[in-house]
Amino acid sequence: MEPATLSPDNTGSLRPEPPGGHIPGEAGVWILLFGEMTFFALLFGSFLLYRTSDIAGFTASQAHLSKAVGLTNTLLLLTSSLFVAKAVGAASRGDTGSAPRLFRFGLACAIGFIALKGFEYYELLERGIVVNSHVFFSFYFGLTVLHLGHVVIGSVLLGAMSVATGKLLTKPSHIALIESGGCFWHMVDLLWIIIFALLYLVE
Amino acid sequence: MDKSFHASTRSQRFLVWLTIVLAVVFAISYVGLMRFFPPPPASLSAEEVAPLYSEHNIRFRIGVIFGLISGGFLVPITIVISLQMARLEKGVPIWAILQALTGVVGTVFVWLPVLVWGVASFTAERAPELTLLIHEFGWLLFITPLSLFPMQLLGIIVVAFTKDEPDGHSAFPRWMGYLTAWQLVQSFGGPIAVLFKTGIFSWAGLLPFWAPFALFSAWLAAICYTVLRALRHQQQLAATGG
Amino acid sequence: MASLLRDRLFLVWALLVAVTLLSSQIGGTSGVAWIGSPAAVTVAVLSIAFAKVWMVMFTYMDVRGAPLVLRVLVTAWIALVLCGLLAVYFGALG
Repeated sequence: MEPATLSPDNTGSLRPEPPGGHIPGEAGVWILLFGEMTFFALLFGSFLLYRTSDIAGFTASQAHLSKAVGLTNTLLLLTSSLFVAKAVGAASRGDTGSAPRLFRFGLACAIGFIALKGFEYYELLERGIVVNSHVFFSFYFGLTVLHLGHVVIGSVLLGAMSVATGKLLTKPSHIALIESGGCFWHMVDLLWIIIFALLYLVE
Repeated sequence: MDKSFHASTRSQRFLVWLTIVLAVVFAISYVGLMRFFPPPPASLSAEEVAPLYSEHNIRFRIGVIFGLISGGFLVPITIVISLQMARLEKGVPIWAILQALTGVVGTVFVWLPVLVWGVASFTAERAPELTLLIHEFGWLLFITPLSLFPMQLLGIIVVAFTKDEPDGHSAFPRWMGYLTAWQLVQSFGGPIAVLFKTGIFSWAGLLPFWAPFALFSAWLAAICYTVLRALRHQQQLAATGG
Repeated sequence: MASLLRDRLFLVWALLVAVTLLSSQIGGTSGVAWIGSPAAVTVAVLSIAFAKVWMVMFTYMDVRGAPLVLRVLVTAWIALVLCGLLAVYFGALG
């Protein structure tokens, strides 16, 4: 149907480059990305708004969190994002060998993130800190559980993409889907970057 | 193309409009008669909850009657969506079957809470603690059940990304796939409301109520539009091809 | 070209990690003594976070090569949300 896309062009990509620039994924995925990011932005704003009414309580509650755990999780997601970005690049060049492997590396980091989050929850609950201990912890559990849900959905996507890129993708629409899945994962990463700053670092 | 699908386009259009009309009736009874928009805070005590049902009791119960009549508004569109999905699937239309069954069972969580609130208003002069119990049961039933909804959406997403029809003629253009995927991701906020009585994570808050409410309304309007557009195209095909 | 792109992703990753370590030093109660005031810590930490968001979107998501509209939209969104959050922090809504 579209023979031009079956062979790599001069940039090594199986997708043709439109002259005005190429939308990552496709236009539709940006409905989801901007929608979800704006929704989280409202949650972040609510957190800071509630914070202004009890700064001392928020600061005291924040001291119960381990900055090292949050930092490790940030590094895990940054690293998984690197693997996924490289995996998407490999997939669009038709590299059926390294794309699935890179997706699996990304997935391994994601599983590490989930495990560490579970450990963090367990630690807090052991010390008797629960959702209604303080408004700070309502936000802590609310935001991180919601984000963790995104990590789980993203991990399923990474697994699916590691299977899908095992064979050569020739249709531009399939490569667009892989790029979109990658963008979703980077969004999960960047939401955590902000959550880490808000919950663990803001004074 | 299968002739039987041409024969039913008129019925399918009727069913989409039935959904739209019933949804409007439901919105009127929910917002105007039951006055549950915005929702009462999840932190109310028994003494604060009882007047929600005892004051304007008859108006509330009339709202319940119309809510019960119109609460199945998602069933007709669910069936039409599945017919449109089955058109595009190869072999046994497994995603259409999943979508239809989960959608039809899931509609229970729209009208059953109305009935539970109806019970709360039925003997509103009872001990306030009892009204509180049934009130909370109704609200958690309305906001938190999630299990079926993502499965229903999953089928639509799969068909939107795997179909072989141009976007302009399909009930499931790719942007609809992404909009539905957003809806799926967003829907996981609902069950979190079980944990919270106050703030943005409670059943009256941004996460379980306002965001899903806004997105679901937009999604329902969008899918009614794309389904009607696809049906118009199919009717034209039938007219010119037949 | 392809290997250059791969290098770029890795370099951005290294930069992101370095900046993350820096912001984790600045942030929290320990950072207040070092930087000065809590407000300065917050401005620094949030600005760094949104700079990271910009880097992730422009390189990992490849917004860099996107049409101008999307590049402007992404940058405007980031600036708007950062300013909004700082405004809320400094009590503009209270």
